[in-house]
Amino acid sequence: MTHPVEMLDITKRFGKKIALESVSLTLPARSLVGLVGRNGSGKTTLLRHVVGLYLPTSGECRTLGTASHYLGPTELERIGFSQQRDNFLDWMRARQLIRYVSAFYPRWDRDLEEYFVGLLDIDLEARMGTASPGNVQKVSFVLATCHHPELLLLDEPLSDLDPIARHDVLTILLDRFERDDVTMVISSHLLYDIERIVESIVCLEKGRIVADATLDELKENFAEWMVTSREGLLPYRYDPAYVITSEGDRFQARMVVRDPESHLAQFRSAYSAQVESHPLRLEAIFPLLVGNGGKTAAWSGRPGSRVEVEA
Amino acid sequence: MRADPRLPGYALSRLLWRPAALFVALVPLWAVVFPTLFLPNGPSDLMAALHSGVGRLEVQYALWRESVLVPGVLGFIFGGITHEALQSGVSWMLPRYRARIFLTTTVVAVLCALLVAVAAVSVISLRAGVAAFGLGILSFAAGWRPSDPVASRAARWTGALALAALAIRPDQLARLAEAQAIVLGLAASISGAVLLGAGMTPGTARKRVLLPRASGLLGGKERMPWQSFSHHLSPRTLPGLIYAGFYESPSKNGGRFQAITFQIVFLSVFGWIVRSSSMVATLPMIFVGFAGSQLKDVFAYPMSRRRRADAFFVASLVDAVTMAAVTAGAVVFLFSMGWWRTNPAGSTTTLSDALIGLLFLLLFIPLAQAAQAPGPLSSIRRRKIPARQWILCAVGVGLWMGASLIARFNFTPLANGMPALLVVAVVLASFVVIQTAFWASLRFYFARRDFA
Amino acid sequence: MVIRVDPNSGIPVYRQIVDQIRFQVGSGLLAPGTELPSTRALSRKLGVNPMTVSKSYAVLEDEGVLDRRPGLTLIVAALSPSKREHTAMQQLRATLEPAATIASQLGVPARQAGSLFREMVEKSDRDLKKETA
Repeated sequence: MTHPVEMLDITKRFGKKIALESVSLTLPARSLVGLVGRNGSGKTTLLRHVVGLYLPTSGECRTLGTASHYLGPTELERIGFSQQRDNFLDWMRARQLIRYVSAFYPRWDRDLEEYFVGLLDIDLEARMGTASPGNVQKVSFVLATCHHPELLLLDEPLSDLDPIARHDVLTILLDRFERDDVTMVISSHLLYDIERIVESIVCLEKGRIVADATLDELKENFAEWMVTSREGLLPYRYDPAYVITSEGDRFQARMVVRDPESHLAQFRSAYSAQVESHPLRLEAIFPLLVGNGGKTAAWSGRPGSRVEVEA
Repeated sequence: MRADPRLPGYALSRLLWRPAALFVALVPLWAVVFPTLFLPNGPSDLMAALHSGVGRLEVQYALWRESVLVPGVLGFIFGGITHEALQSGVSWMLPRYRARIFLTTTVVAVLCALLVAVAAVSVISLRAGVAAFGLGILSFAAGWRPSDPVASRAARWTGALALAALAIRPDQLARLAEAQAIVLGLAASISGAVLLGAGMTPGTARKRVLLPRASGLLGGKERMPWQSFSHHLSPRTLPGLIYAGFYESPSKNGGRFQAITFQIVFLSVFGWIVRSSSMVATLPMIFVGFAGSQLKDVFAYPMSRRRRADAFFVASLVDAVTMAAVTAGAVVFLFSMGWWRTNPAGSTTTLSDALIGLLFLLLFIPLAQAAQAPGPLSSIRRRKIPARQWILCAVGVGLWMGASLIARFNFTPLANGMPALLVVAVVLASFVVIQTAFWASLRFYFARRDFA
Repeated sequence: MVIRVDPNSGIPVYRQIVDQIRFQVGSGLLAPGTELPSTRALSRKLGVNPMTVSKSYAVLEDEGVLDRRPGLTLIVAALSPSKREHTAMQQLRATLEPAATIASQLGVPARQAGSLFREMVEKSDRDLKKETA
């Protein structure tokens, strides 16, 4: 069985700039993936490769079994794509735009469209050129989802929405995920929101994939330790193999570690220390993935204490 | 963007860098190309006139009109763009911004007017250059204050009066202007400067309303929802795709067909007034060369790349052929009614001359349309169109005009020596060859490009 | 069955669900034989990915806390008394670990800490009897 998205060693160059470098990614069907990364890390470029708008400089990209050069209506009618910056025409009203785009898709569901418009409170008479960004984003969402796609790609679908609309969109996404046999890829900066619904994370940094794992695996792979040694036996430096950042003195320390389960017991006995292990949320894990470990404000030390930064 | 007190107006110059660069790139092209368009026999007139004294007056007259038309139009446009930059949110926020832009705006206005004046001077005479300069300043100022009701009304009335005078007593006007060109030029410069200065006082400035983002010179006012997209023609068929392309490109005055009609009628009337009806044969085709009814990358259309290429090709062909047909019809109509006017000391244009010119424009138009393949140039999108795209299109149109002018120039002597049927066959064959090459290159390009 | 999950805490959601169901079974809030909501229903109620819910159910089934009936939703398994006690002690241990660490950090001797804990449990038992009486 072919996977909906197969990217093999894709590199994309725009002139001298390398947007994607050796990206290999296989998404199984019926998965709900969060695509995260810093600005300019290549998320939008990656999604555009999947939908065939961009062609890779080298490597192979297959979507729904077909190479991206040859994507045609049979595949594209089963894909929904919502862009971060759409090219909607200024003069079109939302109502006209929806009618126009729906004509291209044979499986367009009018009932679902009406339901979404009502639920998300979309202003149908607003012109795309002067509508609020939230309204435009909602329309973009409707255009991507109402034809029951098998593969749904959403590039920053939540960034302009108010909290209620965000909640509604997330609920709709989960609902769609359940009812249709959809594979979803959501790229977003709002880690707090997508953490609620995605099951796996793909993280990009400077065009390379730095993480491709389930969310649970990620959360179980990192922990924050509060360490106390009453005898003052804590060392100056810790083993960089699993300690990512640390700060403190020989009595107390706070550190972020990788793979806590396998190192906890050994650490305790090595330094006769007590360790409180706390899990980290996705927003805290994210800087660790993109190699920003010691530079974020959360790990800045108090004056007087030493701050250890691990590369 | 730190405000440097030694350079007042630095802020405005940074804002205007892009439109200024584009217009500087395009203005010399237009200043050179434009006048030749309005000559009845194209470059052959210009060449003949420059080599001999015969007919020099007629050529001078035509070109003098262009030193009025070109600075007038360009000054107005450029003034409007400068004004638009002033209306962005930024201009309200920067301290002492408005005070600082006075000098820079003046410099910009002078440069713009100088550019066209130089062209006029080199082709005609120094006095024409002075007039052109003054007119450039004046029209810049007029374009610069569109939202001031007094100034814009004054500009409209003046323009209308000038056109009326040109229509009724063109010869007297021409003689007067040529005799008193320097005085007129100075008067125009002074009034322009006064207008500009009056627009920079803080009181006047605050009366202006911030324009909403979707408006502006190129964005246009809100469009009319002229019709909803009909499902009778499904965009999954090729004709349906053409229809979709038409739907995506409405104009301010309604749909595509209304726009074409409006253009033709307006140009016929305007051409009659300024005595260069040949613009009816050329300008509509130029509009097609810059903006057609191809699909505008509105969303990720569910179509194969081959289909996109085919749709682009057919839309371009339909655009070119329909516009050419309508234009030809208008030209024939104008001739038959005797409303075709060229310059007054009458070298007459024959109907076949005008139609042959049109034919060559049609033949070579793919050169201009190909420049639109990277993306539509029509400004109904919010995003800024990259400078590279503008230049590519200008070059494309320039190549196209050049090719059609050269072909037309060489055609008549050749055609006179050949049987009519053979000529027709050659022209048809060229048409087929050029269109096929266009189509093949589109297929090739669309198979490889990145879509926006 | 009332469960509350925080998808944004560092604790994986499936683990939160497992812990809460395990606790409710151990404390008798979920009696043996009680039907659990379907994966779809629970995921919709909690607003989380259905895969997460099915993962929690799978873990609990592995542990023997839940039983699967072919074609029907899962039910709470009947636990033997020794199994029940074992689970309860396991959960209590997890809750007490941080308390134990704090006790030793504060320098409270083990015996004193133990009698304090006994005092607190006895008080809680008395309060519970008062409520049910």
